[in-house]
Amino acid sequence: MPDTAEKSRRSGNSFHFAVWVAAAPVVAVLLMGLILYLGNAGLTTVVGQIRQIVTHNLDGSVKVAEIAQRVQTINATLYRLTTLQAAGIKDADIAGGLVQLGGEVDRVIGELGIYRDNFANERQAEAINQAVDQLREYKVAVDWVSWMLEIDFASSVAFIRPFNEIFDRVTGVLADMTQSAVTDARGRSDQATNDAQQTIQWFLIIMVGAVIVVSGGAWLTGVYQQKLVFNTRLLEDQVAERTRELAQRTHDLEESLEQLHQTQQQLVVKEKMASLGELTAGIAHEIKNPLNFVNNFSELSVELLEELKEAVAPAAEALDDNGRADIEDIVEMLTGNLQKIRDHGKRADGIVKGMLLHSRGSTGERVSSEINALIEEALNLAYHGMRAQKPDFNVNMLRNLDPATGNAEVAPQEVTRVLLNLFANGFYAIHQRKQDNAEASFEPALSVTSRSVRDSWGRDAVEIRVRDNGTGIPQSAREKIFNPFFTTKPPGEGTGLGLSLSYDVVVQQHSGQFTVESEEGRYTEFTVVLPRKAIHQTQPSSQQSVEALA
Amino acid sequence: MNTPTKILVVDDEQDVVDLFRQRFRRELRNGSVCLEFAHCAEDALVRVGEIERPRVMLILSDINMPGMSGLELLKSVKERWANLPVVMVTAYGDEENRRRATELGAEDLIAKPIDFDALKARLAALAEA
Repeated sequence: MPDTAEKSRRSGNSFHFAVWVAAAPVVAVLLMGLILYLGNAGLTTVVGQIRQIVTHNLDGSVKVAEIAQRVQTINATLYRLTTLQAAGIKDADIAGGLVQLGGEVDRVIGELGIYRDNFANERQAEAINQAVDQLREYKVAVDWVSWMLEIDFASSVAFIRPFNEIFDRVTGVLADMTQSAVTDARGRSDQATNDAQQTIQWFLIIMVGAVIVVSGGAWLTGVYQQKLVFNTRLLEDQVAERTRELAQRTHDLEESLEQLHQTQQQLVVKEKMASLGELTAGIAHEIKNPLNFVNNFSELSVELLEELKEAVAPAAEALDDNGRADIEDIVEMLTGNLQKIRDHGKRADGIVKGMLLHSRGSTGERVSSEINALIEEALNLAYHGMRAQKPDFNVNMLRNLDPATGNAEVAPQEVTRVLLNLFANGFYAIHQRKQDNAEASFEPALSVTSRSVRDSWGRDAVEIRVRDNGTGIPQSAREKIFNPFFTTKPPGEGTGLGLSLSYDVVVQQHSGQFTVESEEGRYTEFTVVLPRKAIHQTQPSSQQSVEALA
Repeated sequence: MNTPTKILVVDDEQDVVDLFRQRFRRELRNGSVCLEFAHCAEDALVRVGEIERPRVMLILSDINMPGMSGLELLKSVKERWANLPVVMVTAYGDEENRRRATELGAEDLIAKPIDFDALKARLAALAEA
């Protein structure tokens, strides 16, 4: 699961990365397009303006030239008229020509006004105003000439002559203006061209700058992005590594905790069993001495009764048959009673001896012993012991003894005792089940398995499993089976010390593990784990605890 | 058997006196064994010095006693009378006591309950030696 999540996250990142990388050129292209568009629009505007200015100025100069032309024509016409007049060619046309001339002058004045308003600069406007004034004077003169023409042509011609000067001045002004208008138009055109050039230069500079900025930005973005991606990858890897480490550590911790719990459990049980064992041994010590007296004195009393019988024999001869029989009866009964006292005393002594085994501590010397051989020996002993008690007993014995089990440093007698105990218990459970139910298919079986293992502390160890398909252990009894004196057997058949002593041997003496699994009515399996190497303890704790109890 | 074998029994249990007297009643009657009793180790040490010591004498001492222990008694006795045989009796019969008793020079260590037949055989062997 985490792998797929990781992958999808990675692919999401590379998608983001691609978008980032593509974004820079796209932005650059868009920006360039915008600049080009703006530049193009600006250029179009500038060109339009230049064209307008040029057109305007050209229009102006054309107008001026035209007006100048017409003034020249007017002057020429006037000259021709005056010349004709002087030649004495009196013609109605002259008057009409003069009237036309006057109208023409008016039109020129009007057009000059239009030109002034539309095209002229200040200086030109002033010149035009002067020219217009002079033309108005000229018009007055022309009007006057046409009026005078009726009366006195000669004086009118004489009068008209100075107007030629005026006219020349106007012509001069107009020629100047034409020149000026052309120069002005050229200047403006140059100006406009310069402006356009500058605009284009600026546009180019800005565009180059923009391109530099955009590509620089894109480059920086790319570099930064790459760095970011690299760092992100690095970071992701580190996080993943850390996560793995943490997961591992958590796992380890959980395992340690589990082991700690187990150890704690085992320690609690071990401590409980140890104190129970010591208590048992302590009680045994206290009982042993008085019990010895009971046994000794009962035994002695039997002997003494024997002697008494011998001693009173001569005296008994003197008695009658009844009296003798009475005495013999009483002595017989006393002897019987004493024997019973002694028998039960012996039984109690057996129990006490078992109890005392708890206090022996690790007395058995640990020697390297072949575990499988110990198992075989104990199994045979237990089987024959069982057969001796119950001749009809039969069981299928399975030996799964791994040769790799090999040797372990144990106290062989003690371990044999534990195994004997387990086998005897197994046989008993099988026997009980056979007796309890009439299940025809029930096949009594006891299996013993040995192998090489590591115990829960990681030590090299051997494991022995003894499994029977007997009655099983009820849940209620499972916690008590290692307690001293706990037995399910009828009184007199079991002391309830077997498993508690076995526990002592395995857990206290050999620092091993002793566990049981069972299902009532189906099976029981005991597992004994013994470390291969003996750990040398300075002193068994039982002595100190006995003192503590006392 | 002209000189009886003397046994000094050291035990804090009072009934030991009756037990030994009854067990050895025949030997006491025929004078082959003579019994002395002490109920603590300190008393025993005094008694060993006081009583007449025949050729064959044996101390039979319990180990667990209030006050001076049987092993301490054994040590003191062996310091002063190295040749006096001492047999230790213990209810425990454990290795540690056996080792220490042997180290301190005890002739033997026997477990309770005392096997009187074996003890008698041992005394006979001692007397003949």
